Amino acid sequence: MAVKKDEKRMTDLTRQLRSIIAQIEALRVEIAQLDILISEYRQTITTLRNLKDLGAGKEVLLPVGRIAQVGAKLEDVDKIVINIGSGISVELPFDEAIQQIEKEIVAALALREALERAMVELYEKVEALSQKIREHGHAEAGEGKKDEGEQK
Amino acid sequence: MKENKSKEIIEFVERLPEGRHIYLNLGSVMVEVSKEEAIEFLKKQEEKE
Repeated sequence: MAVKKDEKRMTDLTRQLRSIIAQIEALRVEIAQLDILISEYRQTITTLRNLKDLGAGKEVLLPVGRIAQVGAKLEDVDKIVINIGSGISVELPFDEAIQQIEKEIVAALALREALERAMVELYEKVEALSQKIREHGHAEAGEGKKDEGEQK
Repeated sequence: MKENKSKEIIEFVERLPEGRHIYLNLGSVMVEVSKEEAIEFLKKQEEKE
Protein backbone atom coordinates (compact mmCIF):
# COMPACT_ATOMS: atom_id res chain seq x y z
CA MET A 1 0.00 0.00 0.00
CA ALA A 2 2.78 2.40 1.03
CA VAL A 3 4.76 1.44 -2.08
CA LYS A 4 1.81 2.34 -4.32
CA LYS A 5 1.43 5.68 -2.51
CA ASP A 6 5.14 6.34 -3.01
CA GLU A 7 4.91 5.50 -6.69
CA LYS A 8 1.94 7.81 -7.12
CA ARG A 9 3.78 10.63 -5.37
CA MET A 10 6.82 10.09 -7.59
CA THR A 11 4.62 10.05 -10.73
CA ASP A 12 2.95 13.29 -9.62
CA LEU A 13 6.27 14.99 -9.02
CA THR A 14 7.71 13.95 -12.39
CA ARG A 15 4.50 15.02 -14.15
CA GLN A 16 4.73 18.45 -12.51
CA LEU A 17 8.39 18.67 -13.48
CA ARG A 18 7.65 17.80 -17.12
CA SER A 19 4.84 20.37 -17.23
CA ILE A 20 7.12 23.13 -15.91
CA ILE A 21 9.87 22.20 -18.37
CA ALA A 22 7.30 22.43 -21.20
CA GLN A 23 6.30 25.90 -19.95
CA ILE A 24 9.96 26.97 -19.91
CA GLU A 25 10.37 25.75 -23.48
CA ALA A 26 7.25 27.69 -24.58
CA LEU A 27 8.61 30.84 -22.91
CA ARG A 28 11.99 30.31 -24.58
CA VAL A 29 10.29 30.14 -28.01
CA GLU A 30 8.27 33.29 -27.26
CA ILE A 31 11.41 35.17 -26.14
CA ALA A 32 13.22 34.08 -29.32
CA GLN A 33 10.31 35.38 -31.42
CA LEU A 34 10.39 38.68 -29.54
CA ASP A 35 14.14 38.95 -30.18
CA ILE A 36 13.51 38.54 -33.92
CA LEU A 37 10.76 41.18 -33.78
CA ILE A 38 12.94 43.67 -31.87
CA SER A 39 15.79 43.13 -34.30
CA GLU A 40 13.43 43.66 -37.27
CA TYR A 41 12.13 46.91 -35.72
CA ARG A 42 15.71 48.15 -35.23
CA GLN A 43 16.54 47.18 -38.80
CA THR A 44 13.47 49.10 -40.01
CA ILE A 45 14.60 52.25 -38.20
CA THR A 46 18.09 51.95 -39.71
CA THR A 47 16.68 51.39 -43.22
CA LEU A 48 14.29 54.34 -42.94
CA ARG A 49 17.10 56.63 -41.73
CA ASN A 50 19.36 55.47 -44.59
CA LEU A 51 16.60 56.03 -47.16
CA LYS A 52 15.99 59.50 -45.79
CA ASP A 53 19.70 60.30 -45.94
CA LEU A 54 19.88 59.11 -49.57
CA GLY A 55 17.14 61.59 -50.40
CA ALA A 56 14.69 61.97 -53.25
CA GLY A 57 15.48 60.86 -56.77
CA LYS A 58 17.59 57.80 -55.91
CA GLU A 59 16.99 54.65 -57.93
CA VAL A 60 15.77 51.79 -55.77
CA LEU A 61 14.67 48.23 -56.50
CA LEU A 62 11.26 47.19 -55.25
CA PRO A 63 10.87 43.51 -54.50
CA VAL A 64 7.99 41.86 -56.35
CA GLY A 65 7.47 38.43 -54.86
CA ARG A 66 10.53 36.44 -53.84
CA ILE A 67 12.65 36.53 -56.96
CA ALA A 68 11.75 39.65 -58.96
CA GLN A 69 12.57 43.32 -58.46
CA VAL A 70 11.54 46.41 -60.40
CA GLY A 71 13.23 49.78 -60.47
CA ALA A 72 11.62 52.82 -58.88
CA LYS A 73 12.56 56.35 -57.94
CA LEU A 74 12.67 57.34 -54.32
CA GLU A 75 10.61 60.33 -53.29
CA ASP A 76 11.14 62.39 -50.15
CA VAL A 77 11.09 60.09 -47.14
CA ASP A 78 9.16 62.59 -45.07
CA LYS A 79 6.11 60.47 -44.57
CA ILE A 80 6.08 56.82 -43.59
CA VAL A 81 3.13 54.45 -43.58
CA ILE A 82 3.23 52.42 -40.37
CA ASN A 83 1.17 49.35 -39.52
CA ILE A 84 -0.35 50.11 -36.10
CA GLY A 85 -2.14 46.77 -35.77
CA SER A 86 -5.73 45.51 -36.22
CA GLY A 87 -5.35 45.76 -39.99
CA ILE A 88 -4.76 49.53 -40.01
CA SER A 89 -1.79 51.44 -41.39
CA VAL A 90 -1.39 55.18 -41.03
CA GLU A 91 0.80 57.77 -42.62
CA LEU A 92 3.04 59.48 -40.10
CA PRO A 93 5.70 62.17 -40.42
CA PHE A 94 9.21 60.64 -40.39
CA ASP A 95 10.09 61.47 -36.76
CA GLU A 96 6.70 60.39 -35.46
CA ALA A 97 7.02 57.09 -37.35
CA ILE A 98 10.43 56.45 -35.81
CA GLN A 99 9.01 57.26 -32.34
CA GLN A 100 6.15 54.84 -32.98
CA ILE A 101 8.57 52.03 -33.86
CA GLU A 102 10.71 52.87 -30.84
CA LYS A 103 7.59 52.66 -28.67
CA GLU A 104 6.94 49.18 -30.07
CA ILE A 105 10.53 48.21 -29.24
CA VAL A 106 10.09 49.43 -25.64
CA ALA A 107 6.84 47.45 -25.31
CA ALA A 108 8.45 44.33 -26.75
CA LEU A 109 11.43 44.69 -24.39
CA ALA A 110 9.09 45.07 -21.38
CA LEU A 111 7.24 41.92 -22.41
CA ARG A 112 10.55 40.11 -22.91
CA GLU A 113 11.63 41.11 -19.40
CA ALA A 114 8.35 39.85 -17.92
CA LEU A 115 8.76 36.54 -19.75
CA GLU A 116 12.33 36.22 -18.49
CA ARG A 117 11.19 36.83 -14.93
CA ALA A 118 8.53 34.15 -15.35
CA MET A 119 11.20 31.80 -16.67
CA VAL A 120 13.45 32.42 -13.65
CA GLU A 121 10.52 31.61 -11.35
CA LEU A 122 9.89 28.40 -13.28
CA TYR A 123 13.57 27.42 -13.02
CA GLU A 124 13.31 27.88 -9.26
CA LYS A 125 10.30 25.56 -9.26
CA VAL A 126 12.26 23.02 -11.31
CA GLU A 127 15.05 23.16 -8.75
CA ALA A 128 12.64 22.68 -5.83
CA LEU A 129 10.85 19.82 -7.57
CA SER A 130 14.09 18.11 -8.54
CA GLN A 131 15.17 18.31 -4.92
CA LYS A 132 11.88 16.74 -3.80
CA ILE A 133 12.27 13.97 -6.39
CA ARG A 134 15.83 13.28 -5.21
CA GLU A 135 14.72 13.14 -1.57
CA HIS A 136 11.83 10.89 -2.49
CA GLY A 137 14.17 8.63 -4.46
CA HIS A 138 16.56 8.38 -1.49
CA ALA A 139 13.69 7.63 0.87
CA GLU A 140 12.43 4.89 -1.45
CA ALA A 141 15.90 3.39 -1.77
CA GLY A 142 16.20 3.41 2.04
CA GLU A 143 12.84 1.62 2.39
CA GLY A 144 13.96 -0.96 -0.19
CA LYS A 145 17.16 -1.76 1.71
CA LYS A 146 15.20 -2.04 4.94
CA ASP A 147 12.78 -4.52 3.34
CA GLU A 148 15.67 -6.57 1.95
CA GLY A 149 17.26 -6.72 5.41
CA GLU A 150 14.05 -7.89 7.03
CA GLN A 151 13.62 -10.65 4.42
CA LYS A 152 17.14 -12.00 5.15
CA MET B 1 -5.23 42.70 -23.33
CA LYS B 2 -6.29 42.46 -26.99
CA GLU B 3 -9.34 44.62 -26.25
CA ASN B 4 -7.12 47.29 -24.68
CA LYS B 5 -4.85 47.25 -27.71
CA SER B 6 -7.85 47.67 -29.98
CA LYS B 7 -9.11 50.66 -27.94
CA GLU B 8 -5.62 52.16 -28.03
CA ILE B 9 -5.58 51.89 -31.83
CA ILE B 10 -9.01 53.53 -32.13
CA GLU B 11 -7.85 56.39 -29.89
CA PHE B 12 -4.66 56.69 -31.91
CA VAL B 13 -6.61 56.97 -35.19
CA GLU B 14 -9.07 59.45 -33.63
CA ARG B 15 -6.19 61.68 -32.55
CA LEU B 16 -4.62 61.80 -36.03
CA PRO B 17 -4.72 65.27 -37.56
CA GLU B 18 -6.89 65.76 -40.65
CA GLY B 19 -5.31 64.96 -43.97
CA ARG B 20 -3.28 61.96 -42.81
CA HIS B 21 -3.58 58.95 -45.12
CA ILE B 22 -5.03 55.86 -43.46
CA TYR B 23 -5.04 52.42 -45.04
CA LEU B 24 -6.77 49.12 -44.40
CA ASN B 25 -4.49 46.12 -44.83
CA LEU B 26 -6.52 43.62 -46.82
CA GLY B 27 -4.16 40.74 -47.47
CA SER B 28 -1.40 42.14 -49.64
CA VAL B 29 -3.55 45.09 -50.75
CA MET B 30 -3.74 48.35 -48.84
CA VAL B 31 -6.87 50.38 -49.37
CA GLU B 32 -6.99 54.05 -48.49
CA VAL B 33 -9.91 54.90 -46.21
CA SER B 34 -11.16 57.94 -44.36
CA LYS B 35 -10.65 58.30 -40.62
CA GLU B 36 -14.35 57.54 -40.03
CA GLU B 37 -14.17 54.40 -42.16
CA ALA B 38 -11.08 53.22 -40.30
CA ILE B 39 -12.74 53.78 -36.91
CA GLU B 40 -15.89 52.01 -38.05
CA PHE B 41 -13.77 49.08 -39.27
CA LEU B 42 -11.92 48.91 -35.94
CA LYS B 43 -15.14 49.06 -33.93
CA LYS B 44 -16.61 46.22 -36.00
CA GLN B 45 -13.44 44.19 -35.42
CA GLU B 46 -13.73 44.86 -31.70
CA GLU B 47 -17.36 43.69 -31.66
CA LYS B 48 -16.39 40.47 -33.44
CA GLU B 49 -13.74 39.76 -30.78
